[in-house]
Amino acid sequence: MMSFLSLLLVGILFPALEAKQFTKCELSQVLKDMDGYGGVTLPEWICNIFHVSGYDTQTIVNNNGKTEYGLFQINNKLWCRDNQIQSRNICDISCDKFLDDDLTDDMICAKKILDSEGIDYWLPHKPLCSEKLEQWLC
Amino acid sequence: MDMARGLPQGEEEKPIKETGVPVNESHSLLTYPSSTPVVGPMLIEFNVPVDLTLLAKQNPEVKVGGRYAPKDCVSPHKVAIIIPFRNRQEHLKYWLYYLHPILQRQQLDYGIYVINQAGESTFNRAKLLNVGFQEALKDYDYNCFVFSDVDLIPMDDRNTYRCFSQPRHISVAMDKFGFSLPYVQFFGGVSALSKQQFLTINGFPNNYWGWGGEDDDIFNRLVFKGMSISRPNAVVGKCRMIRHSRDKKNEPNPQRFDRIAHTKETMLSDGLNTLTYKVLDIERNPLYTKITVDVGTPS
Repeated sequence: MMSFLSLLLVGILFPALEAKQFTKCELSQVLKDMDGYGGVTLPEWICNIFHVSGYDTQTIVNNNGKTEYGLFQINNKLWCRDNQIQSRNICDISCDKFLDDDLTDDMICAKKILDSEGIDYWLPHKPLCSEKLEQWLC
Repeated sequence: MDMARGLPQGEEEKPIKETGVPVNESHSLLTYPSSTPVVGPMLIEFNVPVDLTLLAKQNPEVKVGGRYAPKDCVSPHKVAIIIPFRNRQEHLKYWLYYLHPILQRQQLDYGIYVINQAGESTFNRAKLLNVGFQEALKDYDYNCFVFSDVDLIPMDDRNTYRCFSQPRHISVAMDKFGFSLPYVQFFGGVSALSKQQFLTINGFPNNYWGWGGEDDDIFNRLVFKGMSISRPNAVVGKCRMIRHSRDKKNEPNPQRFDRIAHTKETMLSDGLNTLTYKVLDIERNPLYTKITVDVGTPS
């Protein structure tokens, strides 16, 4: 009985983190503190995220020997650690933390990437996210 | 949000039958088309399996190879519907089940072409569409080409599968994207280009292997040739996508964003004028023509 109660308490206090398919407006709300960081506006972030992951936190893509994780498609070569390849792991985090619905760690790492590599880390930026940005506002 | 863009006011509203051969009003008896008119919104579900033999019986006016033309009028819309395909027979059956009745109600002179990529190499949607264009023209002088993914079904038959004075985007409000356009430059899913519009852009790119980007490249081609996208509104443009897991050998193309940044330069040397392929088989089924083609591999 006691262990059941403690489990119940834990279950209420610590809801499990799950994968999530965001909508544009949900994402805009969660990411609003990134607006203007490094000179990149919120609609530019939303646009890039849509084109690399379709707002789906569970997006995992392999290419050119690296794997990219989550909404921001952060890779395992430099930024996060997984069990596939050796990583610089600059964000000091396990890559699978980018697959859940808590975006705090994703945002922290994305800002580091922006500081280091600039917005062009996100390939949609030039062809698709440099103009017509009003459509990405919520 | 109003999806229709750049259309002269009358163009959207003109019903198909008025553009066919006119009825002579001096006759004392008016004749009416023998097909039923379009119905508007429809219920689209994917839970009951489709039997193609039964379906053919239910669509007796459709001729072998998936061809139909209205009996009572001559349609100006000679439409080849091109479907890129590999290993999606269940989706194709639903597509045929829903679309044949719709296309007949829309009074189109149409043919269905399923372009099947042979072999196990990475999928190349746009090249298959180029093949479809070229092969369909060997059958008939189609003047309009609808390019449709096999898993997209319109929910409203007022969304006419025909060509317009500008390139037409048909799948504007997909359930997958919350029944709205995911971005204004989106041209994927189902679209329609007249023969002239297609030739003007040198057809579609042949060098997009894997998922994504080829529709953005096509959008760019149209814009660079001074064209704009015509769309139905978001009510008429509602579409259902048959949910499925990502296909093997159609992974997201890592080159896609770089490629679409260079459409302007590459469109002259990548398209109809450089299209090479080998037809391995042509099947004339009751409800569709299936062309199996070797499109090669990424170079």
